Amino acid sequence: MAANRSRKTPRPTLKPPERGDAGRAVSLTTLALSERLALFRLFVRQDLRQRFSGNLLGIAWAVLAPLLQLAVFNLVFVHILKARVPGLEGSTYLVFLALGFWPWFAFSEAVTRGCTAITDHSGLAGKVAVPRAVPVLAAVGTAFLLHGLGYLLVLLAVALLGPGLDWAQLGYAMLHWLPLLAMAGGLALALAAVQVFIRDLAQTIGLLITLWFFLTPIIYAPETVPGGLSQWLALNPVTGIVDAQRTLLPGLAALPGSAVATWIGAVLIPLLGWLVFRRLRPHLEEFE
Amino acid sequence: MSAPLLRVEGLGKSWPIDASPRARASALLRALVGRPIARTPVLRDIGFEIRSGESLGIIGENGAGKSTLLKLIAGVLTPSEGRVQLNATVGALLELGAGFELERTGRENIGIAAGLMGWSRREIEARTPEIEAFADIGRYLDEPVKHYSSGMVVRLGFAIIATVRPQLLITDEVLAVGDESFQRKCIRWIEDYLEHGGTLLLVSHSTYHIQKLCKHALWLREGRVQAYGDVFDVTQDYLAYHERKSAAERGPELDASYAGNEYRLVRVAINDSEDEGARLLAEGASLRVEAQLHSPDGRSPQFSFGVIRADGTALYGQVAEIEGVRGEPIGGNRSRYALEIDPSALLPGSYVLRLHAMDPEGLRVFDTVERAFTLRGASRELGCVRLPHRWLHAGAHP
Repeated sequence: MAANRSRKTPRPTLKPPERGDAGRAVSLTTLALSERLALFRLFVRQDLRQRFSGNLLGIAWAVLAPLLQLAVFNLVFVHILKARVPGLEGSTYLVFLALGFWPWFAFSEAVTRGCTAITDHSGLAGKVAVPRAVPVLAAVGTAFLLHGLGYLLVLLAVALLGPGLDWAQLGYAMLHWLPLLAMAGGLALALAAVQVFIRDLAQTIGLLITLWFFLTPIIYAPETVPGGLSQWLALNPVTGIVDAQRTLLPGLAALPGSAVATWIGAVLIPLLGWLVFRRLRPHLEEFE
Repeated sequence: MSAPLLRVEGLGKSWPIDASPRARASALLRALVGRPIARTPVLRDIGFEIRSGESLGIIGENGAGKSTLLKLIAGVLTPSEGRVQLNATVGALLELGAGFELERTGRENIGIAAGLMGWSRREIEARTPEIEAFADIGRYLDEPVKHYSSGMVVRLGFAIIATVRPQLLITDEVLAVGDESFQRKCIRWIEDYLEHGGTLLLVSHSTYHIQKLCKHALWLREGRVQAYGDVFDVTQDYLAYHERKSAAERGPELDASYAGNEYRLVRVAINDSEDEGARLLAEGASLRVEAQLHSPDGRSPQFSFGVIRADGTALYGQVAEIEGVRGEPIGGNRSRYALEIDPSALLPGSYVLRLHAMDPEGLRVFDTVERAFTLRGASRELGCVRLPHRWLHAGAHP
């Protein structure tokens, strides 16, 4: 680790900080993994507490919110807009929506909240020694925890009330949350570091995420996209994840090639994100 | 000898010169391609050591780099050059509040702060009452920290640190904020902590606190070490520096052409020099003082002199008239006094020579001029004056 750090230090003549012989060393990079995990848990716990404390219903919102959300989708998309997807019956469209929306909720919230995680905790900077990646990854972790739980609740509700799901595919579908988590983590790390330099990013990222949402077949099926455009949807690495969720719904075909983009994205995005973060990390304290 | 608890070598920190949105964007691009960013140093070539049980006070003007130095040691900032070697658990109370979240209650912040210092939840729960008792902020503990006064924030922060009891305690100007009784409580706690082997790194503008709590002091000036050593030497130099600085701001204190209605000193020369700065005297050297006094009414004013230690302790003083000495008239309502002082009874250290102009009756001091001087030399004797003494028992002087 020390060798890596010296390479990034702005002046080539500088010596890297050294850790002491015993006890807790100064350099943040020498924090043990267990200490980092403890900090991560602390941040997740604080994030959850911040969201739910002060509410009348408290943590019950974690259960209520996804179910209410599902009810709203049912009202708007199924009963008011009467949206349909070819090959599926009316009420099945709600399930189709849910399978796409919940992974997307986790992903988009992880990216947008992760993006501002360093600047949001700038009160800690300069006072407490916390590796800058920890609040970012904690924000990502919290989003996946909450929406992952929401997803399981929604699946349960659908199974109880609506059409049957192909439960044999559950493992396959849930496995695809891992590449989604990896991509969100990588993006969040890079964006959070860039956000420290360019504060306009947080404004822009909301728009870009909305655009990304519409470029992902969540509220529509890829087949309904006109002309040759549907092939382009397969380049979106999130498409393959949504497709994998929809294997729970019998009778839907995945977009050809979408899985390839997903797995390439699941490797490249975290890698690039980490590289950008590591490059910028020594400068974060200077622009926070 | 054991390894030092903390060793700082060639430590430096530089910051980007420009932090405007444009400069940040260009800094981002340069950082991404690995090119250097224009920087300006705030700390340069800092080196010192602290052993277990020692205490070091850091003094310096605003912006001298004191807080940056503490942050580098606490690991909150990474050094631009040099290194910090630390062999201890560290508890740092930097600026106001150890990173409190303003929206959360004090109790929640105890959990966060102690958690950041590596405590388990069970430990935190078990020891919260201890923290609560030390902070002594009553019902405010369950209110958001944003409702706290700055004194309460410091109370809570110090209470957490006091309960954690790290091997190295780093505090930045915290004693200045609390009220008298809390300050005394903190000082009592720190004294007890030091007695039981704790190690302290303290930044304070109060040289009183530094002298009370620290054995050594380091004076930072414009990002460099100006002086480092015994706490009294360094703080006295520091105070003398401020004295000179404010004297320079006041302008020359002596007005040679003064012709007003008061008895005044109009010229002071020490060893033939009118320089107002501190004198360095070699061992065995004497102080030759020449003073000219102005009298508004032609009567000869009285003259007195005194020597004090830099901390204000009076050592010796005398009025010319008591020794039957009158000023030498030099015309134009002026009179002149000249004397030689032999300081060899004083131990090496920093002293101040005070000269006074008084009315002819010797009732009132009209004017005072001070000149600092430092006696060079090394001595293991204690105190400030050398008392003549001899040993009487057999074999004392072989």
